[in-house]
Amino acid sequence: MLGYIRESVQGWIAWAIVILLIIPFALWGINEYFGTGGKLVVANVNGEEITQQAYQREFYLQRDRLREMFGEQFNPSLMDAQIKQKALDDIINREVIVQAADAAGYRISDGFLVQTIQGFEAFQENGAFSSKLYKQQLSAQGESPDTFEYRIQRAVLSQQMYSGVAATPVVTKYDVDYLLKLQEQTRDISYMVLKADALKQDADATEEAIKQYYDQNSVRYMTPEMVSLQYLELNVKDLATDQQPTEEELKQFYEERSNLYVTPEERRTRHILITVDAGASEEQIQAAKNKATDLRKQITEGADFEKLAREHSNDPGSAQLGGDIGFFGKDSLDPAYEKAMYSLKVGEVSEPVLSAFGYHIIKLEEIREEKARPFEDVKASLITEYQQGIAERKFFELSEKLTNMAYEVPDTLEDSAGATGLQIKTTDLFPQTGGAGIASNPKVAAAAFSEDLLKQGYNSEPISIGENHVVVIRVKDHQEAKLKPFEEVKDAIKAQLISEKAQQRANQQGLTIIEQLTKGEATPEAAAKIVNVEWKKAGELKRTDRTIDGKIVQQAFKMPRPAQGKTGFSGVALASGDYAIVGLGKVTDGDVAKIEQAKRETLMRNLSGIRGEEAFVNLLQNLKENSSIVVLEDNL
Amino acid sequence: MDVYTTEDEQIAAIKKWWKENWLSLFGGILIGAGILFGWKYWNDSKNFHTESASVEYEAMIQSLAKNQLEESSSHAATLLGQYADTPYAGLAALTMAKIKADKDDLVAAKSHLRWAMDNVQQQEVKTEAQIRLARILLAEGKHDEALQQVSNIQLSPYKAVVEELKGDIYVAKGDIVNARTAYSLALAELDQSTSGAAPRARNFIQIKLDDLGEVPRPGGEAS
Repeated sequence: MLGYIRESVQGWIAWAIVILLIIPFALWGINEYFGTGGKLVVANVNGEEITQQAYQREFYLQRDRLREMFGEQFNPSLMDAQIKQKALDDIINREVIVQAADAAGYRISDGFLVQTIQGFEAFQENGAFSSKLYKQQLSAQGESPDTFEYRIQRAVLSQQMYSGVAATPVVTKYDVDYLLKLQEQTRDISYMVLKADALKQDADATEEAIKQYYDQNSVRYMTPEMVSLQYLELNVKDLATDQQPTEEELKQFYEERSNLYVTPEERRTRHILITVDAGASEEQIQAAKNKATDLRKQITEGADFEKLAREHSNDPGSAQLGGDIGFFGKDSLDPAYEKAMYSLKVGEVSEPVLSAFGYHIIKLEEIREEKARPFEDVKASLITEYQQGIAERKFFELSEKLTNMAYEVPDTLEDSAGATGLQIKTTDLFPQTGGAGIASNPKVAAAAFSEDLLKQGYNSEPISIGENHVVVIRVKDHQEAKLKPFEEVKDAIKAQLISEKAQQRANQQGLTIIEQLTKGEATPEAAAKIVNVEWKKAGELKRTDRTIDGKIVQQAFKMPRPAQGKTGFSGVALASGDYAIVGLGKVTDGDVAKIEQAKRETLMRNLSGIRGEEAFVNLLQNLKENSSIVVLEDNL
Repeated sequence: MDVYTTEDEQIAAIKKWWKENWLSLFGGILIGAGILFGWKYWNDSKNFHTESASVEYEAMIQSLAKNQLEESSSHAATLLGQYADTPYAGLAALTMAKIKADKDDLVAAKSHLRWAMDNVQQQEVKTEAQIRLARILLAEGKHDEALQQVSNIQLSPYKAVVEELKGDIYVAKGDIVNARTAYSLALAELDQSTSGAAPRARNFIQIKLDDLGEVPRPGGEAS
């Protein structure tokens, strides 16, 4: 039996098995058979897993974007939690959208995907897609083309769903007219202001009331949590030295840096190029050489080089300039060309020279001699640089000592000070928002209130607060947030209670007057006169008008429209604590026939934007409500 | 099962079984492979169809973004004609409706939105079509019909938009009390929203609500 199988395996059975195996592989490819396995998952969206890797990529992406936006002010430790939340939200949203697109049957063809990727500027060289650049860019990001293409495909899918609803909102002429009428509406406004200050007389607050207010509003009278610091400051500027180098040291320094002080010789040439293609035959090469030789002969016989260059040179860039290619030094031109260029005298014309491009006839026009700034000229700046070099070396040496010692003896700065010879300095108390001196640096303030320093009492790591400028800090004093003593705030509370009382009086008085006005028992002018203020007519204003107090305008635009020829009255407390009585006369809607087209279009765009955005947000929200989304907090 | 004593007998039995069954075995494999390849072919051609629609759709959206309306419409028409069985047709209908509404051709816009409502599978796109239809009915002055459409939308994420639209319809009908309620509900919904557009949307609703007057006028009615 076994023998039979062994024999047959060489024959048709083997083939049958191979063919059977080919079918599934041909249909689904081999990758389906290998799971990815062993990955950490941060969330599960309708059964699809979001890996920690994808989440972290999103997180770093968003953090980098913010850092670019805010630059120096960006303090990652303060915002990490928010960025994490946003990264998670975004990645879940994207998953939800892509799943919905898949389910609805959206598809992206490979061709379109390729076209999209080739359109990215980052992968283009001279305006054309370069597959070399593509691979370079991806490997720099640590991403394989497969995963990148997968991500782009998903991005295009969600973009399709987004545009479908967000780019197509309906805004009718009716909608625009309705809002234009309101935006351009004017209201005839008049008003008077009852000053709270004027009603302060004989208002008083008892000791008891003040105490009660103090007890009930203690949060308002807290001093913030504060710390003061001890610190060591290492600044390259403080290490500046006036140590004079010897003449010899300085000369050597000059030699080492000669490339900075020397401009090498350069030569300006003209040439006529007769190109020889890479695959040219013997005869073609000979023909080119003959032509070049002939041209040179014409030149030696007196023909104009520039004219011949214009007519015969195959180098399109220089031909129009009479063959001029400008000044070049060593190592920038074809070696054969360079050799000829350096062997010519000014005005001389070379024999035909064969380079990688073909035959050149070269004419040397001008030599710019090597120029070196002499030692004496640059001596002063050399000394400064020399001294800076010493200071910098010293800075790095000390900062290494400081870093090590502050870490090894974390409970005091004494040892670090001893090791580096730096003085321990101190700051005043300052709150979490920062203080004076080094405490004004947000990185210092954040470190001062960090767990390690505040609770553990450790030294900080060196914090860079400028170029070659670091500090190591530790907390000297820590003051918990505390209630200010009653005596200290008593007067302020009293003043406030009196103001509040006066404001209440103003409100009360206002309401009484409004009632009289509404009943028609007094004219506004007369009522104003009684309380010694003026009834002001502001005229017909639009709702955005701020020539008078904005609160008065807002109030007027909230009031019901008064009957024809009548005035309505209402009141509003102002930010100052005063109380305004507002009179509303004629209301005139914007005349839609007269509104300029530009205004109409702006509003139209505005509304389209809002409605498009809303359409997409609602779509996303609805998809999410119908999804099962599980976040695994432990893996975040 | 029979017991075979020698290898020869076993071989003979296998050969016999083979003679009787080879045809059905190969037949089975052939039919199986046929079904698999057939299914794959069918699937590929279906995908090709959808992918062509997708390319058409991209062209439509891009020309819309560039405000090339003629071109965008012609892509949309292709989608609605040749690719009506793909999900892109629904979005083409929304695009057509937008282009028509912008040109104040409300009748045409309506017919595209009705088509989307009847033919689109995706609930959110359907709902969006219904909201837009109601907006156009309002513009045509068909207030009751508009109200009926918008009242049919029950999906909670759409509440802010739906209530604002109801408010607009009530104002047009002169029903200030209901308008005020609707706008207030819309504002309350927007307060919960994290959408970037919410503050701007709020602004416009506040203007409309303010215009209805803070307090009901004594014996007041719409102006």
